[in-house]
Amino acid sequence: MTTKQLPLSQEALAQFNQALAVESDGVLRTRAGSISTRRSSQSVDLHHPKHLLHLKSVEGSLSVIPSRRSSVFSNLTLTRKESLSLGKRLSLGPWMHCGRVSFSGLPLYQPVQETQFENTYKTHPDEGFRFDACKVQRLLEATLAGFLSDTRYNPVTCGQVTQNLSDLIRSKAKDLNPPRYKLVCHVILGQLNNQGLRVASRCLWDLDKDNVAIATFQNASLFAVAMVHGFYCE
Amino acid sequence: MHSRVNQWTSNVVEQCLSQLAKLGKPFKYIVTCVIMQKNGAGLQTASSCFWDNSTDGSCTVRWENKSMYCIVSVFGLAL
Repeated sequence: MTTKQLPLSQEALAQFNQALAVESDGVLRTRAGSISTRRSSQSVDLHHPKHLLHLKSVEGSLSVIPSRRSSVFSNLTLTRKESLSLGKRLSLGPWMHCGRVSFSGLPLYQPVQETQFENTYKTHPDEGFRFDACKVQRLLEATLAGFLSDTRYNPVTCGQVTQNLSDLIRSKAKDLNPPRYKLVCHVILGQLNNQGLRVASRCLWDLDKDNVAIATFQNASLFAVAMVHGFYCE
Repeated sequence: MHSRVNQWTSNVVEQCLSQLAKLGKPFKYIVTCVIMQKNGAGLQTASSCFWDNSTDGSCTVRWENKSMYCIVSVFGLAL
């Protein structure tokens, strides 16, 4: 279903207004603004202020139609001449095309149109815009030290502490993040109890574009390992 | 035992990654494995990602036996 607006030129508008004046009961009603086959048109009704509904346009370009009058018969194609009159007869035919008004007369809102971006055909990051592992590692070390230096391991609260730390690291890494890079931040926090622990990680990635930064921290009662992977997204 | 843990973690990540690569899907993967001795100590892991929710995802599996815990996390990012 295409939802394109078809703006009328000035000549076409003038012609249309003239045709209206001839075929209606002599009342000249000018139509200002554009008329589209899908959307309601903007009609300034000089002689007949009576209107049925106010509709707010929920399209992407909200500035086009600020307020609406007489929505029922403004959603029309040009062939329905009798409904261009004051409109006691509310026929169903034209409404089916546009879908702006339901059968009960309640307004139906169109979904907001998302902007479609064109393809950039980029497959490599720009020069100087790569994931900087050294900077991110220094950031990780500073964040871990600042966050955990005076924390004791507590089995009840440390789950939340780990999640908070992970979110904090992600938000800080986002500032250093070059465009088109996806981030994965992983934090492991454990209690020191003379146990053995081993962490291993392996990635399937693009060697020249993607990278990882890892930092560890330890105090009297806990240890923490933070990993941030930066992946280029084509 | 301690000397074998290195080998175990390496084997786990390598085999996971090779199986994922065999799937042939257009994804980049991160596989992380943590093996911890059972000692009464606590362990927490958390992750936070900046990605496209509709195409990327992660999965974490926990396994244990009498003497150790093993946690494997896989992150998949769409190309």
